[in-house]
Amino acid sequence: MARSPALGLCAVLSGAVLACEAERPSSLVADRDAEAVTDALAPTADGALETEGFRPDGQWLLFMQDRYCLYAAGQSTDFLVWVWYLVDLSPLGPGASPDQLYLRQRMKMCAEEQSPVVGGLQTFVPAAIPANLPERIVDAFALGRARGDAWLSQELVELWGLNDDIGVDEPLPESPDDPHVVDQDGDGEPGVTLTVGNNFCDVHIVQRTRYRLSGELVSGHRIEGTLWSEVDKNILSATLPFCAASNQLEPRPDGSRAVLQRVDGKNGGVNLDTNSDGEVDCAEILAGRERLVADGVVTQDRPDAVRCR
Amino acid sequence: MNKTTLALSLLWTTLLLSPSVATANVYEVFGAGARAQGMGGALTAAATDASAVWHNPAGLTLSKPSLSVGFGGAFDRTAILLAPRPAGYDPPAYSTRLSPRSDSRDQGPILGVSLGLNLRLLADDLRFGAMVYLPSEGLAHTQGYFANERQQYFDNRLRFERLEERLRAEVLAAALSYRAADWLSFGVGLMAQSSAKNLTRVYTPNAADPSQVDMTIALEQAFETALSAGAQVQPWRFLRFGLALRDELSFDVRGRSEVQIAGQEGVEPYPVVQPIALTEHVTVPRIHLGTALLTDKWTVTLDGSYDLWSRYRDAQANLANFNDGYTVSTGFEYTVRPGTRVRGGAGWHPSPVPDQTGRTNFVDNDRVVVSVGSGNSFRLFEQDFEIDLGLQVHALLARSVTKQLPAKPAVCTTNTTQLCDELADARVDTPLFSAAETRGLQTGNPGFPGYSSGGYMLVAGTDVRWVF
Repeated sequence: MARSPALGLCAVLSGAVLACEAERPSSLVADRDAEAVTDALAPTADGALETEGFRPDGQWLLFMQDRYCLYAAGQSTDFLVWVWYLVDLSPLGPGASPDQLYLRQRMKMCAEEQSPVVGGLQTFVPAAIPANLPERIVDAFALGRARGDAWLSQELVELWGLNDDIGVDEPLPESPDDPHVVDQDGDGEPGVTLTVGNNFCDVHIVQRTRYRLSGELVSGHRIEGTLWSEVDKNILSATLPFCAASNQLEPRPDGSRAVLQRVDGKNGGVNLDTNSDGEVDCAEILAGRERLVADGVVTQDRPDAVRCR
Repeated sequence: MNKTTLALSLLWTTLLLSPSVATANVYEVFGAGARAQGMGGALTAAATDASAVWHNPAGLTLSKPSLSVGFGGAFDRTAILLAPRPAGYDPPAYSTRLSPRSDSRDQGPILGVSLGLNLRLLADDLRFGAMVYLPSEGLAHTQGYFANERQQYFDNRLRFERLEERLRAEVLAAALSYRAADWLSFGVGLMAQSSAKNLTRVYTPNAADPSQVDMTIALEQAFETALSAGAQVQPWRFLRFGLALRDELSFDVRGRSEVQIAGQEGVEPYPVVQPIALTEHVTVPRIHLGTALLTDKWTVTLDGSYDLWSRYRDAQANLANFNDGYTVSTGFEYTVRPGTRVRGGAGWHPSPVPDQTGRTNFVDNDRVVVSVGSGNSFRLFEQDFEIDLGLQVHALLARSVTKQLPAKPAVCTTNTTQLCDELADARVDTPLFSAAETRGLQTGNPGFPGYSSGGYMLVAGTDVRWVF
């Protein structure tokens, strides 16, 4: 009997302890439906020169990495811009010898990405901008069809928020009321609207970019080369004064490069035609970006903290 | 004006002048001292030693002057278990949070030292008392926390709102007690809590590299105070009633940070001014009523308190929207033989925190307390000493929370109370995410889609008291 109170107390304590152990609840919220992603991106024979050699046809990806030192807020930052173009290639005719080719390149910008700059802020180019840019036709010249033969492209001029009437060397408008300024992305604001940070601010700009490309054939489905560019930009307005602050870009050609990669799955090229409709479009290019980078088809450098100091 | 009227007037005046400042602590949750711990904390009408400073200042006159030192600790076996996250609700870059979303288990022992003093002033009917609790973490221990989706950017877990950090706060309390008649005692007390004012100035010489900053910090340490008051009435020898009031108190840090980036001097919005408002260890106003049945061998107590939890503020000094609540506790002390006592007690502490089905994650459980204890008197160096032991089990009854999915989730703003959308629906695709991915609810709230909490704490304390 002397042990009864202790046993009783133990029973109470044990009961209380058992009643209070938490058990992990199951999730009563169902997974949100996700669209199935078809993986049709595997390169067929990347890296090897085809016996057939270079063929001036099909659909290609032009990937450009442009590198600058950006001077803003009293500091200089390594600044990278990555541009993705879909290129339809067709022959224009032979050159002075049967191996030389004149090429027609119908170029459509799919996306542009920029590396973070001041204070870690990153500028985003909304998809509406490339979606509303017209297709550009740029001719090129290939000095042969074998590995190491040169490829030269005419200048590509891309205009953002501007009509095509503006001359290549004409100063950019500074006023939203200038007749050259158009609401290209259709958001009701003049020029085009870039988003800084996660909705930190919006910047309305006009911009002219001139690209000059040259390179050489490294395989029947791949051309690697160098890139020269010149960016002329005016900020028309911004939702925060900080975002309207001017900056200066100094090109760093040693970090700039271009790759023209066949992506229609033919002649040994990568196949980005995920819906198998016989055509590669920008959506398929964008959906395949991560895989292209992961497979080393294109290489995106990361900003170097000391490069521009 | 007789002594009773004078004392009542003083008490009333004191309550009226009570400052409205806003700390919970080990005394509030476990009881002040090993005797209180052994009796379930039910001492409003039976606190007599220095612990009366906390439980009811009027009780100081009912025992001999003494000096005590105590040591106590709590062994934590509580847990907050998170429900698995469903797919499709992640905000952008959710997988790159500094800390992954995780359960909360066993927050480590809570250890501290307690000092108590009950001192005669001029006459035996006038006493001064003090109680100090020093946690092992040191003074002014704080741990900021967001009880909503913003916590995903920090340690990304949930906390027991009324336990954990609140049990790691120091307690500083003192009181005066006056025995107006054999059957009537009064007391007033003062509780103190450290606070701070902070001005941080930050200069970023390289705007492109946020890791390089020049910083100056100006910190002013101060104390917030709150009043307590109490009365004990003993109309018959075998029955005593107690009333105790405690105002609210908290640990507050107020101030601001000013951030300037090189090259942006004089440019709006620089310098950026970031206000700092941190509130922790909030003790809400309380009224305690207690009764004690007294015989030669037995003391049996019954306490109830009404707690104004509706005034509780979260770590960002915002009202947490808790309900006012109550607690009930009971205890006994039995004299086995002269100088030897055994004790026991129990308590019911219902949670004042409503079900957290919305944006906030204030984790709290109904709590059952069961306690045992003992007390022994002995002589050493021709001096009288007492030693008390107290043991408690705090059982946190298991509680589960499931978040309610709003039909049309609102974007998170200061005033949003429902589970909120951290990414407004986008009109156009961006390189980071497509417009389709922004539709509906995106949340990294660590409490989403739900969680369970429970467990228990084992509490032990001992006091050695020199009675003089």
